[in-house]
Amino acid sequence: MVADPTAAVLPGYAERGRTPGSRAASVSGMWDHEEADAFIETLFAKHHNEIYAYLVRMLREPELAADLTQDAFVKAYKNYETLEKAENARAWLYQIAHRVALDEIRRRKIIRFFPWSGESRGASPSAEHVVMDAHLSGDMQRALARIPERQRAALLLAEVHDLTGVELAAALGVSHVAARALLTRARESLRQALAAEQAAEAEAEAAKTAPSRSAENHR
Amino acid sequence: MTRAQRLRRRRPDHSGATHERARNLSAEQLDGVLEPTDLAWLDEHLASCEACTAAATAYEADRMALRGLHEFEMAPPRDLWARTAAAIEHEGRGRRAATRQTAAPRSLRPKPALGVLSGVAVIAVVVGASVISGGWLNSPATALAPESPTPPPVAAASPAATPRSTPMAVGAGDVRWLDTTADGALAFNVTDIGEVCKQDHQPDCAPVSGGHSTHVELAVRPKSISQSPVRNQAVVVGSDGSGNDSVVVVVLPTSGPATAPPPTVGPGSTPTDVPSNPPTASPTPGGTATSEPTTEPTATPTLEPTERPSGTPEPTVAGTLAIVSGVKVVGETASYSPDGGWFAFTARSSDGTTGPDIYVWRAGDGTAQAMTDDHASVFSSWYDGRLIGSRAPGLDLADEVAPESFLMDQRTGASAPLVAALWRPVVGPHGRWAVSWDGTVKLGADGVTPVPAAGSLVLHRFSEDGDIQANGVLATFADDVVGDVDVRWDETGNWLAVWLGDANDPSIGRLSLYRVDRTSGDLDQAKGAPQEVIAQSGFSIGKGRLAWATPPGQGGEGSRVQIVAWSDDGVGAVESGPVEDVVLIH
Repeated sequence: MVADPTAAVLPGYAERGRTPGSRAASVSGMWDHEEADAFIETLFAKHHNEIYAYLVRMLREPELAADLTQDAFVKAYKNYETLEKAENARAWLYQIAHRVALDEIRRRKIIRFFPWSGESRGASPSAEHVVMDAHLSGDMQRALARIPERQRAALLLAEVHDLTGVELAAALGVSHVAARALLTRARESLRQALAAEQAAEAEAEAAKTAPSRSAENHR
Repeated sequence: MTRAQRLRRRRPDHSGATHERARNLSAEQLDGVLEPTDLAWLDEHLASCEACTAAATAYEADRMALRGLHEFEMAPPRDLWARTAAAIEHEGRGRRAATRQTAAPRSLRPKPALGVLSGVAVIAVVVGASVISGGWLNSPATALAPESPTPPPVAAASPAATPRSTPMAVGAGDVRWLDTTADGALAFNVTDIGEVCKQDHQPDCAPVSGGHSTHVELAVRPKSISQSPVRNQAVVVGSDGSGNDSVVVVVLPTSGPATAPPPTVGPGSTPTDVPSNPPTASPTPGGTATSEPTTEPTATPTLEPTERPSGTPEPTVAGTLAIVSGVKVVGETASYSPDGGWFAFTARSSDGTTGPDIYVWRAGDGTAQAMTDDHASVFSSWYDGRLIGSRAPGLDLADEVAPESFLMDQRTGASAPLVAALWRPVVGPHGRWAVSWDGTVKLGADGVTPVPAAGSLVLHRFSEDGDIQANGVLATFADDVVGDVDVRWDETGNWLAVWLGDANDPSIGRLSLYRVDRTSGDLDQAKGAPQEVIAQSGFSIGKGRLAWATPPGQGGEGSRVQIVAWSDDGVGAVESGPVEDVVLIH
C-alpha cells in the first residue's frame, strides 16, 4: 500500500484505510459527522487562504469573499460524501468555491469589477485592492475584469492558484479538453481586452495632454 | 485524430484561420506540450508573422503578470474559522437530527486565530496519519544487484498493531529535490523536516508530504544539482538530449513554509549574477572554454505545481546560464566552495577522445574555465579557499599508476603538489581530516577517466606537506572500491557520509553516515545512522540532515527520498512518498 500524501493531512483517512466516499457508504448511507467535522476542519486549515484569495480575485470584495468562503466550506461539509478520493479534496473544494462565486455573480449581477483602476472609477480601494495594484497594472486588472467570468476563473485557477489540468477541469466542472479550450480562449480574450484597455488609456492620456499643449501653443 | 485536428483539417487555410490557429497553438503551448507537427508549423508561422509573434509574446507576458500574484498573501478575516465553524455546527445539528445519529457529535472548536490552524496542519502532516513506512530501516542492504534493487519502503500494516513512537524534534531545516510529476513535468520540492522518528523504535513517522512543490522547466535533464551556500542559486549538471552534458546555473524558485506563509511577501529574489542572454562555454580540445553568444531558454515556472500551499511565494522567473556544454561531467565531486564564490567540477570531452580536466566557474561569470589541460585531472574538494585536484600521470604508459594531488589557486591557476600520493582527498571543513583513496589508480570503463585500482579508502589526518602514513590513517572505509566514490562532510565537520558506487550500475551505491570526533578523528557509527544502505547517486548532507533517494522499486513504484536527521537526542528518520526521477539538491 502506498501512503497517500494527502491522506497524511486528513485525519482518519489513512488510519481507516478508506476514502471519504467509501466511508460514507459504509455507514448505511449515513455519513460519520465526527469524521466530517474533522475533515472539514483540516481542509479549512489547509486551504482556506487560497479559497478566500480566489474568491477575492473573482469578486473583488473582500468582505463578500469572506462570506462566500464560509459558504463554500459549509457546502463542502454538507456535500462531504460526494468527495470520492482524499487526493481530490483541493480540486473538489475549488469546484465548490467556483460554483459559489458564479452563483453570487449571477445573483447579484456584479459588474463591480470595473472600478479597479482606483483613479476615476469607484470608491476608495480596499486593502487587497491596494496590494493587488502593486502586482497587477491597472489596465491588466481592468482587462481581467472585462473577460467572461468563466474565462477569468480558468486563468486565475490555472495561473495564480496553480491547479493542474485535471484539477482545473474538476474545478470548472468540465472535461479536460474543454478546460484547456477555455483557457486558450481566456488568454486570447485577455490579450484583446488588455490591448483595448491600453488603447483607451493612451487615448485618455492624449486627450489630457492635448489641451495643455494647445494652451502652450497659444502662449 | 482528435476532433480538433479533424476540424483543423477541414478548415480552409485562408489567412485569418491560419493566424487564429497560430494564436491558439501559442496559447496551448503555455499549458502543455504541442504535438511535433503543430510545433513545427507554429515555429514556421511565427518566423514570418509579426502579429502572431506579438500575440504569443503577449500571452507569455500576461501569464507572468498573473503568476506574479503568487507572491502576495491575502489574509482572510481572523474570525473566519469561528464563523465557519459555527455555521457548520448549525448545519451539523440539523443533519444529525435528520439522520438520528446516536453518537454524541464532536463539537467543532472555534479557533481564535488562524495561525493556530496553520499549526494544526503542520502537525497533521507529520503525525496525522498512521501509515507506517518501512523505509531503509526495514530493508537493510544485503545485496547490491541492479536487477534486484531494494524494495521501496512499503506502507505498514495495521497501525493498531504497531504502537506509535514519539517523533523526535530536530533543528529547523529542509530537504530539497527535483522529481518528475505524473504529468511528466519537473517539480522543485522543498520539504521542511522538523521531526523524525527514532530508529530504535518501530518507525512510525508518516511519509513527509511533498512540502512546497513548484513546477520548473530546465533545458537539461538534471543529473546532479548543487545549491550555492549563499545564494538561492544552483548549478545543475544535466544531459542535453544529445548525449552530452551541460552545466547550467539556475535561480531556484523561492519557497516558503509549507503551511504558514509569511505575513508580508515581497518580490522574490532576483538573480543578479545570471545574465539573461549569457554566452556558452565550449571546451576546446585544449581544455579551455571559449565563449559564443547564445540565447539560453528561460527557466519559467509552469502551470502545474503538484501541491502548492496557499499563499506560498512562487518562483521568480529565472534565467539559466550554461557555463559549459558539450562535455561529459565526470564523477560526483562537483561542488561549490564554502563561500559560494566558486563552483568546481570535472569534465571530459563528450566523444571520449580526451580525459578529464578540472573546470571552475566563478559565480557571476558567463562561462566556466578549464583549470587543467592534461586531460588527466579531477576535482577533489575545497580546502582553505583553494581547490584540491588529483591527477594520474602516465596512465598512457602503465595500467596502474600512483596518483598525485595538488592545491590550486583557482584565481591564478598556480598550483603546488601535496606530498602524500592521494587520490581525490575530500577535506573536512576544518581542514584537519580528509577521506582519500590511498592506492593506485587505473583507467575506468570510459577508457579515459582514472578510477581507484588497488588500495583503500581511508580517513586520515590532512596536511599540505605530510605523508599520509606519517599523518596517520584513522579508519578504513573500503579496500575494494570498484565504482565511483562520493564523500561529503556536513558544514560542522562532525558528520561524514560516504557513498560507494556499484561496479555495474553507476547510478546506485551504498551509503553510510559517520560521526567524526573533531579532536581525535575517531569515527563513530551513531545509533540509527544508515550503514551501507542502497542509495542512488547524489545525496545531500547538511543542516543536521542526510538525504538520499532509494532506487525505484519493483512494480513501477518510484523512489523515495529518505531523510535521516540528528540532534542531541539522537538520530531519527523519515521518508517521502513515492517520487519519480528524483535528484537531491546538495
